[in-house]
Amino acid sequence: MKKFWTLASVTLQSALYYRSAVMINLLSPAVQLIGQFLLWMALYAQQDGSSIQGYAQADMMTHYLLVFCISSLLTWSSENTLSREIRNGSIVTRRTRPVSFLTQSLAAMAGNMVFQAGINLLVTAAAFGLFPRFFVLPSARNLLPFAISLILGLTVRMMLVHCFSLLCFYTTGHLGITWTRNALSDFFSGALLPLAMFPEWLQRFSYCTPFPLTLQVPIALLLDRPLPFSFAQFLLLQLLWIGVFYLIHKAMYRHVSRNTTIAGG
Amino acid sequence: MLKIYWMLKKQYLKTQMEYRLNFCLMMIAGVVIRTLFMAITYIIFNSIPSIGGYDRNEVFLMFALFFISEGLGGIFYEGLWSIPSMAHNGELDMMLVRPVSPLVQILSNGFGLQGIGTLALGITALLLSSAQIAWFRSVLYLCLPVFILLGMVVRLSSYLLSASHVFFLRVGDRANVTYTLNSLGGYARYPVSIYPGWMQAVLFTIIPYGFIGYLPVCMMKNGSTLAGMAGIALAAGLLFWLARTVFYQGLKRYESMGM
Repeated sequence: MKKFWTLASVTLQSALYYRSAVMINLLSPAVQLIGQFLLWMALYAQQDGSSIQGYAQADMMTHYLLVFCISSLLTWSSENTLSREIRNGSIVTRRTRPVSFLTQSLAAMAGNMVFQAGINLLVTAAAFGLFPRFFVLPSARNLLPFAISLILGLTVRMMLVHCFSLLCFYTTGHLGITWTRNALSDFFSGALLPLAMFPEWLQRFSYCTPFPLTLQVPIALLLDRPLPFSFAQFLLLQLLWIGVFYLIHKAMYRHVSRNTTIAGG
Repeated sequence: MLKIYWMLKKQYLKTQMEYRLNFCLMMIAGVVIRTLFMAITYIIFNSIPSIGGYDRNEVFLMFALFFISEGLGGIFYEGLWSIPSMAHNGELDMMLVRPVSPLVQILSNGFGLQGIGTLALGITALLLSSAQIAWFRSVLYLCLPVFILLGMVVRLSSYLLSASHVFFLRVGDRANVTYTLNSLGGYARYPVSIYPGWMQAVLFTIIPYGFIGYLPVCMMKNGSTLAGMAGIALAAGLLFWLARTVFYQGLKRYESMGM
């Protein structure tokens, strides 16, 4: 773990080099959150405040606030960095370090996450503290299951991002990969709309994918919203997906290692 | 000038098509993202009959105009997104010594492959939604190209203005200013009238995306198409003048490598 945190700290230092850029980028998700709030407030206003598919306005606002807090932790820097390193050949340094490729990748993501997590927590706490009537305050007894589910959910998401980023070895550009991954993730994880609002068949399909485990499940556990499986079953599912992604990583990395040509590969 | 623009564009497209997987992925990504956005709106409409007085097909028509201008933007002026990195890495040097306008070179530098998919989706959505709208008369199809063209100018001006931040703020190429403003502008896909006054003002000034999808549909629906066209043309002209001025003022501050 010492190596992991050392690498995470290096990434954090590198990210903080351009401080003004870091501040602008940290506030970017908050700007998008404001847009989401305004849209839903307008939709509820024209419904005279009545609930939409079982979601009262405060439920919906709390959902999006938590989505903002969790979802923006991981951005698209992973594919971006890896793609650049592959194209300019500096990927060789990653391959020669005495730390596994997966550990380096996860450490870099964790390093990038630290600062954003701090800002997100501040914004979320300020929103709950300053505008309590707009939100539903979660019950304290839900905090532990939420924390466990969140940590495992973030691990699932980091593994998923890592596996997608390995696809950069097979193509020259990373944008197509990143956009597709982001779009699927946002849609099926409940970031754009709570899964409970989806038609029944789409909900069932969504829960067959790993995406809800990264966002919808921890949020639903915190807010006491109904879920199709129990807490324990979701934990098992999260562990299962971490295992699946680990195996995918092993298979892909083995193939990639055999086919990489350093400097221009 | 136009000939040089097309020559550069053609060369860039050739280099992109050489990598088939990337070509396909980018095209698919453009369609997937926008289709999912439309799916979300479709689901919302299952619970709400209208948004700000506009029904599902009218909102999808706004989406369509939005996507078409976005797709065409990807095809014709994707290079604007790379202004911050070009300025940061000193790549503008090369453009400044050539006897061609730097802006034309930037516009021709790059080809957003996702634009092809986005454009195709936008056209499909436009044809399907307009066919379902009772007030949409055939003659309005003649007005749509003008609205689309003006939407492209608005989008181009907005990208150029936001990307020019690199000349004025010391943030290197890492600040997502263009992306952030573009994301917030995305809320103009919905009827802008539903937002509070200050947000409407933002969507018609700082991020003027309200002119791309909402205003054309609003004007066509109210029967004031020509007046709408004239108003949007004036706004687009002003925006382009402002963006061009800011860009060239910014270029004067450009210091080559190490900004």
